[in-house]
Amino acid sequence: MSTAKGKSEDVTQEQVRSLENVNRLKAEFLANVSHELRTPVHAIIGYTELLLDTVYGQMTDEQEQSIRYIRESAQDLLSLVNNLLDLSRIESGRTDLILESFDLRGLVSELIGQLKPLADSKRLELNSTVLIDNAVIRTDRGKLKQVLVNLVGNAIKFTEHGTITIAISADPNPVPGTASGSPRLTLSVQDTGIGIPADKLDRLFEKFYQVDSSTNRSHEGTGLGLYITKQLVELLAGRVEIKSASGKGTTVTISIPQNFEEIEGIQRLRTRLAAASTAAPDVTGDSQRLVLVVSERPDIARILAAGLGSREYNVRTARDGEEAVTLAAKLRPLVILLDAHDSSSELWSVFQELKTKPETKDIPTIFLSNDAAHGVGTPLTVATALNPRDVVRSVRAATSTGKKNVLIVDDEESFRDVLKCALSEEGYQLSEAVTGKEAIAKLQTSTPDLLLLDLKLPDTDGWGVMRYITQQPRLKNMEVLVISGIMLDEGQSEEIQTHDYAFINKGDFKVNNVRDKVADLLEVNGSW
Amino acid sequence: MVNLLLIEDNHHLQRIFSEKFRREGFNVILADDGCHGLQRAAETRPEVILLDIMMPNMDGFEVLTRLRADPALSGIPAFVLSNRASSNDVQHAMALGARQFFPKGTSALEDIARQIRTACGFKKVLVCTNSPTLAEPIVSALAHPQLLCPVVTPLAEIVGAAERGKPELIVLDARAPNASTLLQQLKTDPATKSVPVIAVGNPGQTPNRADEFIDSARLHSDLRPAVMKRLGLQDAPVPATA
Repeated sequence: MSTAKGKSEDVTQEQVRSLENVNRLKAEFLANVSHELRTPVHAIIGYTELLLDTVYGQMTDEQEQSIRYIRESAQDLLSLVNNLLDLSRIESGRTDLILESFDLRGLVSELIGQLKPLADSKRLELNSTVLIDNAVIRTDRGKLKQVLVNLVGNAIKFTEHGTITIAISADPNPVPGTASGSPRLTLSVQDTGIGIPADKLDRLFEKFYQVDSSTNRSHEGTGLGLYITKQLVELLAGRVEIKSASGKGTTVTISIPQNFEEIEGIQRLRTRLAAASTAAPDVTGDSQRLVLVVSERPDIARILAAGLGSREYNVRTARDGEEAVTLAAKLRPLVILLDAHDSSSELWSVFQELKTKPETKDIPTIFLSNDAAHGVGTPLTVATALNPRDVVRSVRAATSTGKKNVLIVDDEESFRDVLKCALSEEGYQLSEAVTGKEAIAKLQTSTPDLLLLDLKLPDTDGWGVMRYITQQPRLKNMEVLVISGIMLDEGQSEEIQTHDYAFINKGDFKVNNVRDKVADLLEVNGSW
Repeated sequence: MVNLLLIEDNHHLQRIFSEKFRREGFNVILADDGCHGLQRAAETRPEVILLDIMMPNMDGFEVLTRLRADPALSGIPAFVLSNRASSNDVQHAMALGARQFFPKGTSALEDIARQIRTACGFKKVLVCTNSPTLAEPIVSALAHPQLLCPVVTPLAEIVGAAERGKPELIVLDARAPNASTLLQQLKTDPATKSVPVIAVGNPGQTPNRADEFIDSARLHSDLRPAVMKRLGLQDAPVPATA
């Protein structure tokens, strides 16, 4: 029974991994395609600008006007490509939030500066009113700006006369079901344009929906703008509303939390639920695979929970130091991830407290940074917070300490058995390969701490394996112990010495000898 | 002269960017990919580097990493101009030491040039004459690693160029017949009236609205110190090759 169950879980995990892989490839593909698509469009726009700058001489009015049309069309094409990319990014869940605190008034005036030429060209007024004293907000500035650019751009597009007003105010209606203490701001974009018939309002946020879908429609577009806008607003934990009357204008209102992190309570709940539901059923029922993430950034916690949870770990998050220390002592997680993005002093006191408490001092701790390079040169394990794969790798590395991986490569089964017997008592994680090719295949997917290598092997011999190792920077720190029955000539012993590999002659072979040598090599190379 | 190393693999964009930056007064050095870029950086020691991310042979992240690792090059400010501008890419580039990240196509190149100018403390001096030949001695007298000296010809273009280009200083050839009228316009236009103007001309031709007058016979000895003083720059010796 239990084996059958174990097998089906293996299959599911395998499927999850291959789906993740497909998703990653898709994302990579999109990033590359976007580059390829946009580059020629940039070149077209660039040349039209050089022409309009009269770099290549004066043009006639007709020529100039034609160049302007080319430029406009290229710009439309560019925004279409950008929209499609946003869409695929949102739909593949690859959008992460970068939170910062800023004054909304600054953002709005930046926006007006950017879109004023467009409004001017249609002789429309574009202005803003701020109805609150404190317009400081903590959210993803770039995404909010994109939302506003879309909304104001739409307003300009569908308005022929009059005014477009951007208004900032406090949201008078707290959202049902959330803590009453988290204030929200509303941003509205009001126009005096053609408006939207009441029966079309509901469908407005659908993908590819266009109010006027007749072939001779007067307003070009892809029908993606509002759909993307809505998705972005929802990412910012906001909601969007639209009011319109045909011929009288439209008002789009978005409401978002003033501090994204204050809705973290909900986020954390979601994270836990997500972690609980995505993690494989915990057959052993122990806390061995529990990872404690300590981060005040809900987006990071969410990314990590998703990344680790879909692999082999359960995730708990702690928002502050106190919670971290309590949870660590109670749950004894396998490993603790400390988010070091702002290098606050609190982080160090948490670290120290964890390292002094008897219950937690032996739990490996990994620091998360936005950039793994920050940790270079410090005796700490650092992983890139935004890269779940990197984090998983570090978690694996940190949790395998004490169990060094040893790969035994020898074509003689009896000799492999002797080695396994000699080393198994020492608590090493052993794996084996019979031929040189098999050894190389294993080295392609894993990085053992030590390689026990016979020289005379079928297909690729030991020298071939060594050549492979020297070409792989990743394997640079792997210890190699060559065990061989053949006598080495001078050139051969020199080669082994240049690589700083250890050597034992099979003729002098003694179990104790090998055991000590292995212990010696792994001790010397003991990593932090 | 401010040398800008542009590392960009697309030849069309190379041509467009270098033309635009040249018009902002940069001397543009080109490289086709990351490897070539590093090599050119070591050879030419530019004042500033502008690089793409996705390139063959060696990508921009790797270039940033290697620039930072090389003590001889780590001090050169590097700016990224790329299509790949997801938040991860931006953070990654900034963590590797990029000064700023410009997504391609979102801002006009003139704005990017201006942001680079501000970030690096370069000063822009518009040199306005009726022909490039007349501008040459002025530009060579002002050779300095922090001075951008785009040339505007003919003189009639000066008002528009000064409005758009927002220079820190204007050097104007007062020998041209329309110099006085144009100076008058510069000094009344709200967008340009606060920009100091140094007029270069023959004695007796002093236009009355110029902030300072340099005798064209004494161009080599007098213009440079006057410009340096107005811009608050430390002087560096004129390169012998000027």
